[in-house]
Amino acid sequence: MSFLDNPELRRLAWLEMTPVRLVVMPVVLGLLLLLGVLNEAGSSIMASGALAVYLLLTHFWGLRQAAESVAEEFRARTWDLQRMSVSSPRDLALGKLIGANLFTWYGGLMCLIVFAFFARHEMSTVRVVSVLLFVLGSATLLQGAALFLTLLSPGARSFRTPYLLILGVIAIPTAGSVFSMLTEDHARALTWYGWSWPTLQFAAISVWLYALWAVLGVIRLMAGQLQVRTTPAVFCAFLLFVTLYASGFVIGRDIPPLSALVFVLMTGALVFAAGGYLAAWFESRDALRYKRIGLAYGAGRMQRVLEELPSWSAALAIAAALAVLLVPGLTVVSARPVSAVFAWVDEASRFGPLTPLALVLLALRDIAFVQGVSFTRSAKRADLAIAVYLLLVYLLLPALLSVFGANSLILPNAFTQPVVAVVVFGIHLAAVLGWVRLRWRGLGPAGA
Amino acid sequence: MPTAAVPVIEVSDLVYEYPGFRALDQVGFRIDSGSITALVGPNGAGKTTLLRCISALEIPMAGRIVLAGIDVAEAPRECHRRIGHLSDFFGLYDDLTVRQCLTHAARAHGIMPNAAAAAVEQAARGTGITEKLDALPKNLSRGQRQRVAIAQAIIHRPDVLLLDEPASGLDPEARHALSQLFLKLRDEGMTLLVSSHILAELEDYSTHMLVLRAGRVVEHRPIGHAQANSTQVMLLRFSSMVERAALTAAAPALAIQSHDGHIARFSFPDDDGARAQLLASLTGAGLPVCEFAIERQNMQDAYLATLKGPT
Repeated sequence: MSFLDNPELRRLAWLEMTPVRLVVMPVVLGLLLLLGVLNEAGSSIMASGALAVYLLLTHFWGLRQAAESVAEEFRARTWDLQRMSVSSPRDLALGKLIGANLFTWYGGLMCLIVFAFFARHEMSTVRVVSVLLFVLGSATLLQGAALFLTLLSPGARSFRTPYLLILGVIAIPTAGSVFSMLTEDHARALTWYGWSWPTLQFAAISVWLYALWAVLGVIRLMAGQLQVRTTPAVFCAFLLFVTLYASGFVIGRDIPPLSALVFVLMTGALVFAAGGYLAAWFESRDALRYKRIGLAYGAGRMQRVLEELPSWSAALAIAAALAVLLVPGLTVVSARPVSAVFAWVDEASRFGPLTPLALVLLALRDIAFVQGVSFTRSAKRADLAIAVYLLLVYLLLPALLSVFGANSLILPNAFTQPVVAVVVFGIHLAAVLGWVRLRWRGLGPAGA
Repeated sequence: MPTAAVPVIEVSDLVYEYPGFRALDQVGFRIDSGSITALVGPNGAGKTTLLRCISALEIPMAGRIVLAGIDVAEAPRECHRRIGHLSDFFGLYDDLTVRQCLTHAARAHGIMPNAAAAAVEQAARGTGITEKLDALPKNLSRGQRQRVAIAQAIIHRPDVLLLDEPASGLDPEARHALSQLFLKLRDEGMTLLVSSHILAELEDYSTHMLVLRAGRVVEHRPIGHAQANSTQVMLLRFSSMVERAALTAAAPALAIQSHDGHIARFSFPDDDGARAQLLASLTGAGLPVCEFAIERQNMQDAYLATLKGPT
């Protein structure tokens, strides 16, 4: 069966590629082109204009379409129909990802043809191809990320949260960087694992690698929706990829091998902690999952335990293990060469042996609270309680305690006071875990 | 020789929980092939949750569901090939034509492209919507939309069809047509499990009744003609006052349940010969019998009697 026979792709093609739309898009784009020609705009302006329309279509409208493709199914209550189909997770994921944006790609590709036509007068073919590769990859990444976030909270009927998040975090910066690519010096290069790479080519390859991870993530989440069991292994593999990718910007410089290893471990601890932290906010917080884990564990079904484990727990377990490893690691090896990389965060920042551990404890404290607060029948109340918690622990209490010079009791600086941070966050975590236990018992039959 | 009924759904010790609330508690039953089972119970009894667990849309906490020999927990996707599920809010793609909706359902259920058109025609014919194939679902009446949704659910010819409140919001004519459709599907070999609040409608086509209350099965039994050889309640009406003593004198072995002088109710074997003999005895004794009939307990009565029973 060819991909064109994909049922979801076909369904979305019926919706997206109506005869009227097929005519309207080239007519509108043609009129814009005519406007430019009549105004005798130069090649540079025409290329930039075509790229701007492409970005509008595929990056802004496109990510909305991707997020909406699942949210709309929830609103129309057709999602169960999809979940009961026999389509494979890959077919459904790719069908949605491509199908939801058939129309935006239809217009977007026309824009890229116009861009390539005019840009070849302004820059080298290699550069034109690199820009094309980058913008194709960034659109795929954005749309994949939007669909990923929507699937991460499948109960959410609104696409607004993933849309705004991706818009703010990726889409706008990406659009900005695309235009800088057109104007900046082509000869600029960067070093990755000691190799020198032209920035534009490196960015194009990077964006495609992350786009492929986004698509893989969508397929994995779709598998969960279709009752195909998965483990957090792929999520952890992605975090490992990010660790190695980020480490490449430092490794290869004049750093001793042992320091380089410690740096990779440190980057890993931070990436896994941050990945787990983010996942815990977005992943389904189903209290009963923990009971199913307990039952599977009691029955000795370890594969089932792994399948039920939330991704954040696996990521944070690895982050915690790395943080513990770093206590002797950062004691033996001076962290100064690698700390310099993080100097932009804070001039005084130094990764002491206990800093990663303190950060992991902080992440665990927040996640434990978020999980505990979700042991309730009302999701809305849980969200409100989480918002109040964040306001208290990160704004109000530190501000109040700082009046008495005691803000380290609630939010010590893990860089400048690592020992205090480990003790304070450790106490916080123990207290929150005790409270979580009480909440669990209060759940009634589920918590019994 | 009667053949043993083949179970197509077997549920044992099923437990499903929501946070702080057990929706299904040790639920167990079996449904035979070719039956139509009415799933009834008060609001919140767990009917929808049970249907969703059987459809592998929800993961139960404990217990086992075997559908056509397949363990639902172990092979949920294989079960989807065998099940058609119509939820209480039949989901339709309103911007596609009915033909496109059905073609998509056929393809999504693994029907090959060259066989999809035939499957669409067959499902449309079976549900009586052939004339509406080129209409948009949003322009159809509720009854017609309902039929489109059923056509979607049966397009892959499932062994089992699960329907959650299928008649909700339908007018009497559409309900009657739906009943006829269910009987037709049953005759074609499907097994149906239908959840509904409208007991009168269920009575038209159901062969069994499964009653849920507070997440537990409180009764599961055949209904209607399936009660052959059992004892039935008989009603006797007299044109004038008859003392209880006169009645027992005429039929000493009669198990009288109630008697008010004009109407008597008693349980009696479901045997035409015995009934004829009893009637002859009563009239022979000079009792003014003006009505002698089996008192058929309708589904509503049976359901209410079950709910009033001990938990």
